[in-house]
Amino acid sequence: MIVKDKVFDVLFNVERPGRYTGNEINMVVKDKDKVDVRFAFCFPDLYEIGMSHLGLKILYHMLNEREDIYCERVFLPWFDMQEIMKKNQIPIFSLETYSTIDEFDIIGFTLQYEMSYTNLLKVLELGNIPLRSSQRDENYPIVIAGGPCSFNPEPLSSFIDLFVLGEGEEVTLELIDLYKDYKQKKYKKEEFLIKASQIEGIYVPSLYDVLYTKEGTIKSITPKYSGIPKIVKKRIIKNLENVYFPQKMITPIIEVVHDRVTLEIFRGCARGCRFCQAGYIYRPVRFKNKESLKATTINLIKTSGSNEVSLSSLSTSDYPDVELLARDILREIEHKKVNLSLPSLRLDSTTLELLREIDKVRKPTLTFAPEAGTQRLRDVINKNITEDNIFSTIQTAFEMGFGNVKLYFMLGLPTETDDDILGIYDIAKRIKDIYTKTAKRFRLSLGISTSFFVPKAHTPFQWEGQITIEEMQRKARFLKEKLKKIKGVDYSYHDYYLSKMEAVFSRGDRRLDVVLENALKLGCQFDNWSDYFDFSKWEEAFKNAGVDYSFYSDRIRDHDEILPWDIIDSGVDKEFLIKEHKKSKEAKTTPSCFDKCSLCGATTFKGGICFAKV
Amino acid sequence: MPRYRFYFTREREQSFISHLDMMRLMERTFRIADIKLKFSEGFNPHPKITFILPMSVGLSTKGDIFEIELDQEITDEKIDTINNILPKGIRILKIENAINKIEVNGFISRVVTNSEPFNKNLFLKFLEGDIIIIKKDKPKNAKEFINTADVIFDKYTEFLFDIRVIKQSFIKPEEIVKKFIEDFNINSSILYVIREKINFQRGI
Ligand code: SF4
Repeated sequence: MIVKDKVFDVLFNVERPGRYTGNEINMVVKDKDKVDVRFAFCFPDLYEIGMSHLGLKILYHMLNEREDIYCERVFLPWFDMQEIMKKNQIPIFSLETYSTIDEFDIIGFTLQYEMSYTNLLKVLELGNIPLRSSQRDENYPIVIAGGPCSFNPEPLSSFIDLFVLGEGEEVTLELIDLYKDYKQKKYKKEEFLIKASQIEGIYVPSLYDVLYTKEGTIKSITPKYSGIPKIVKKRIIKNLENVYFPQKMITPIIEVVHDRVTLEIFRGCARGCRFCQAGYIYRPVRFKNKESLKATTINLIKTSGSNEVSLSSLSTSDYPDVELLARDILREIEHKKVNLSLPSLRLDSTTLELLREIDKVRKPTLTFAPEAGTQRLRDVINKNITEDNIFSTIQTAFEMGFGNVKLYFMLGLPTETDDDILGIYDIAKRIKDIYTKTAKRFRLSLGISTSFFVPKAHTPFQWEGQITIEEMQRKARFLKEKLKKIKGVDYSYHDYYLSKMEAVFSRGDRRLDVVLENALKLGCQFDNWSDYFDFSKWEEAFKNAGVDYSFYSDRIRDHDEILPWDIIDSGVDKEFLIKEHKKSKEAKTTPSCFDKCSLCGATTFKGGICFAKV
Repeated sequence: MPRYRFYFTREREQSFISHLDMMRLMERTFRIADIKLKFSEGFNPHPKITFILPMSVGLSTKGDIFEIELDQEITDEKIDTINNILPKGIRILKIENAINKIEVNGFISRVVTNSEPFNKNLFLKFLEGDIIIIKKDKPKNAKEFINTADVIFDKYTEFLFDIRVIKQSFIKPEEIVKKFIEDFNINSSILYVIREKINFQRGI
């Protein structure tokens, strides 16, 4: 029986079967036998998560613009479906043509979070594809990966044939052209990989030898052959004006996490918060043009029928005249009963006014991310937000009738003391006092949410250690006790075990491959769904591999230690990161790229705000 | 404002979505087709769409109906436009002006299962006794909703039901089959459900 029939015969008996049926509005239909290259775009998580992701949609439509390529989508089926698939011998399949993944030429994974690594292996396993790159010869698809986590690709380096670093639009097409040549001339896989390594932005882990010292740190990372780049530089799109953006977007039929049309208004972030990986790996900041954004919005509403548009970026208020853009777009879509949403907006009195206008019906939750409870610690992390800022905005917000406030903080930041944690309590208390003094036309809902600091590759804090699990528990408990004293505050914190695992994999090296294989065998998957995350299994996975995880997460590293991701060049110089790290210890801040260039190195890309101020 | 009645089919390919998904899909389709929908007043405006019978997950239909209020007049000519937008597996057959109300009396459904053939008397015996099905925490006897029922052994084992709708209330045929399978310990699972026909009456 063909895969599609087998799948349809079990759908009546699984949860949310619409995840597995495809056929959405604007799904691309092609004859799979009439293309040269079949590309399986795999999002290693549930359909509802993957289909909320803008990057997937951009690449999907871009690849499908080319007549010689058919890009299809693959998601990881939920537990109940996996069980039924196993029973009925159904391998994992694509939603467009119900092909199994071994039928594809290239399998491309997007790596959005570390805790999806076992999902990725699960996808390969459910597709009957050997996990290790070295076990796959010319008869298997080439397995590639991209996305933010590929900035430290090492934990996955045994499984992935090659990584695409940075923005994938151009480089993926160059790779596919090379692939066509490989298929035609039938050269060996390694020969193909060597050629691929010559494309800027492509990292082929199997072409490097890594040696270790007695202490377990890295002694050297060296190319196996001459001509293989010693360091791989990420790719960016210099000018966003000419970059491909779909005018039609695949639109799911079942409800997904973010059910809306998303437009990216710029790439990069100029703020340089020292804990934030996105703030460094996406440099430099490049804006999209207002007129084309407007035109695209109108088109996308027309072609997707969506009732919500979202303007997305890392820090939306940094878009020049964002209020103007928002109001213009609103004027075009309002009468069609389409809503506008503006995530990552910095709140102040003008943006509050804007929020009120765009969201007349729902009372949106106002979110602030001070990240730390005292000015000293905010200076350490270079978070440019002051308490006066927050309090005066909240005062105005209360006067305007907004009553849902949520604040985000981190626990365990470098140099943090209990006084800094008390600072979080003080902020919450002040907000409560402001509320008490303001006319109460509404009930206040005040949420405080903390995550634990995870040191990330390519940031000034990449040398820092993460606090121990016991210390995380203590800090969270301490804050919880304090916040209990303020009535009506809702406190939530991120899972400490999960944060620990994130810290391990975000700065891990090649020797973690065995751990991931063990974890898969023990049944770890959907780990970022805290209900399904089982730390005891992970502990076992590390134990069986003889790996001490704290070596990766807790240890403070020296500035001259060779880091697993030193092979990757994000454009930001290591010397700059060291300087920033030292400044953080003195609680000295660094201005944003809008105010002053701090010479981070991103000028090497010769684009964006490093050159043209807006 | 004009209210229109849309007759449509839904094939198995597109049958695994929920009632709410179906509503949202229609809203999107009309927006793409640039047909102006009438929205409810108040806090969270939503289009005024009613399906005359709920479209449950896993249900295909050879002819169901929804009614929708528009902010403009349309004719049959829009059918092609709409069908070109709708994903494969859902088709509009007919549009008519909904001047009078219609009242659903019942429907005919087929529940297709992968069960091995069994002694038909088992099913007949099952139909004779009370069939208690818990619906929204309340037990209901399915018997009063079954006009006729039968089972056919062909390539698949198919259960045929003529279901009565009493004051807009009824029991889903697949619930009845599930109960039967459970009670008689039959090794079987449901593959799909098709609504063959809706029996309705136009109001006067
Ligand atoms: S504002 Fe700070 S935290 Fe936010 S994206 Fe920019 S650098 Fe990262």
